[in-house]
Amino acid sequence: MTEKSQVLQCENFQGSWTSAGNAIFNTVKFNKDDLNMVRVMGYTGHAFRININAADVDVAGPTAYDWEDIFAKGLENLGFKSETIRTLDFVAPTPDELKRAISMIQKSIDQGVPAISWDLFVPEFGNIFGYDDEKKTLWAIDPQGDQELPYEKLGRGQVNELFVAIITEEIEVDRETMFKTALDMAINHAYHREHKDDVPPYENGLKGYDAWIEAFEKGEVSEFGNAYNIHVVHDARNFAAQFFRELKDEWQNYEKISTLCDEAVARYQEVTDHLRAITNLYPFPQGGEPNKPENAQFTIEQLKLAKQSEVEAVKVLERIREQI
Amino acid sequence: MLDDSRTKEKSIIVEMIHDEVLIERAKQGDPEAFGELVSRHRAKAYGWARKMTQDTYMAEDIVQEALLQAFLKISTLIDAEKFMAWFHRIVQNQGHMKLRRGGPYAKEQLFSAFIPSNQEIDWSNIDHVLFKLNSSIEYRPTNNPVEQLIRKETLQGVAILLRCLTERERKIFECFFIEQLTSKEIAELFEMKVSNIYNVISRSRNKLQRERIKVELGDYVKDRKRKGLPSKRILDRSKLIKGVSL
Repeated sequence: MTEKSQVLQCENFQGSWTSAGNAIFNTVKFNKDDLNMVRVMGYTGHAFRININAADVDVAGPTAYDWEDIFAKGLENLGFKSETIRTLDFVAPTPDELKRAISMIQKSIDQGVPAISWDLFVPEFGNIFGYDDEKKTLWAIDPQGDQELPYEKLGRGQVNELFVAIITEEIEVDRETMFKTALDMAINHAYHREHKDDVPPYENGLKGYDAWIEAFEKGEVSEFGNAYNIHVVHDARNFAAQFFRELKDEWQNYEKISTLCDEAVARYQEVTDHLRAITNLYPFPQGGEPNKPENAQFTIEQLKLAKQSEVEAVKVLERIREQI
Repeated sequence: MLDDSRTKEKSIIVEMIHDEVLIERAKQGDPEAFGELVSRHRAKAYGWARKMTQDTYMAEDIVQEALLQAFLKISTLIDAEKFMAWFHRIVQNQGHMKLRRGGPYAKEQLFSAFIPSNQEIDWSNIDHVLFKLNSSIEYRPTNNPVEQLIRKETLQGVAILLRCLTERERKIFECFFIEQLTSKEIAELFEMKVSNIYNVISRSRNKLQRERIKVELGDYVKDRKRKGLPSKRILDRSKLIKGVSL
């Protein structure tokens, strides 16, 4: 797929640069048909995420977070209890862990629902939607494509770590709770650092923009990492704006909330527009020249503008939160 | 006499060298400096590991692993005071990695826990070790035949799996697991650099692990069949989005 058509796919809100969002949508759509990609991105918090390594804007940023916690919270807000298994970073599963993971996957598929997993063909999230005990093979899909994956290769991909999440039970969640939880997750992510360790120097939320600017000022930006981050965050905020467009209609009988949703649309659209101004400079995966002074200067200006708009956007979220 | 006093003098000098200096030298890749650091802290590390595992050989294994890790990561150390704290953490991590598979009494328990320690075994020859262990199980009075069978099968399994290593890999593997030599001593035996030894050990382990996974997956699939569980199912692919291709 060319980059242009990828952007188009994202503009139609059919798929996202955030592979976690795609993988969650692929799973929940088998149980609920009233969900779409936009709602999944919004209600699971993925539309509001940003995580930047201040040292070099590395490619791992967008997926460097507590998966168990964020996936479980996100799935719960969509109305599902879940179960996860994960090995430590860069640690392949033991035979017992592997068997447990496969049995979770089979349990999920037997109930007609694909499982969520990681690093199936590339280090991104994807889904497992079939198995065959005779061939000892899984059927899996991720941004690299859909292929068969031998049982023994699960958790032994490019980075050697195992992650599987499955839905275990459907639960009732009312729309107020869904909205409130989404706002709480977004506000929390914006203001509070999610990482226990100082190193690597990851910053999330509003400080993520500062970390990004810092790396550009030092001229130590990873071409590949930066291009990936810019596409992921730009796409996520585009989803954030669309999320509030949909909620504005859904809450039209509540004038205050509806008006505030409209304001959130405007602010997130501004963030998206500022970021879009630099996506062309940094095509993925080639990366462009982020350490060239004129590019850096323009990028820093746009990131500062994007941050200003996002500061305002988060304030709007807090005001909506007071209304629900 | 002269030699003796020289050796003594040398050891006094070595003792006078502070950890900081040794760490600095180890960082430059000096295996002697590392060896000295290891012997200074090995006893302590062993104590920590022993406490965690309650098993002598597993503790030794953890310490070995931690020491190799330590050598490989020493260049990332910032100062000497942090050495002990950091080394302790590595031992702990290694211990947790082993223990989280179900504790010292899970299937992966090393052999040392189920043979009397006073038996004479040629630890440098893994076939001999396995043979001895096997016979000790056969002649061992027990009131739990199931457990006995599991132990026997585990040992036979290890013997089969070891066959997939090359001779050289197996030698190094044996040294590492059975003789519990320091990595430096193994390196001397094979005149290889410590980092090479580490590679061989981890390759051997990976190969062994892969074989073991194949065997266990085979059993897993058979077990599902026996229980009458479905053997195949593929969901509707057309409903799934692939996301942005990378």
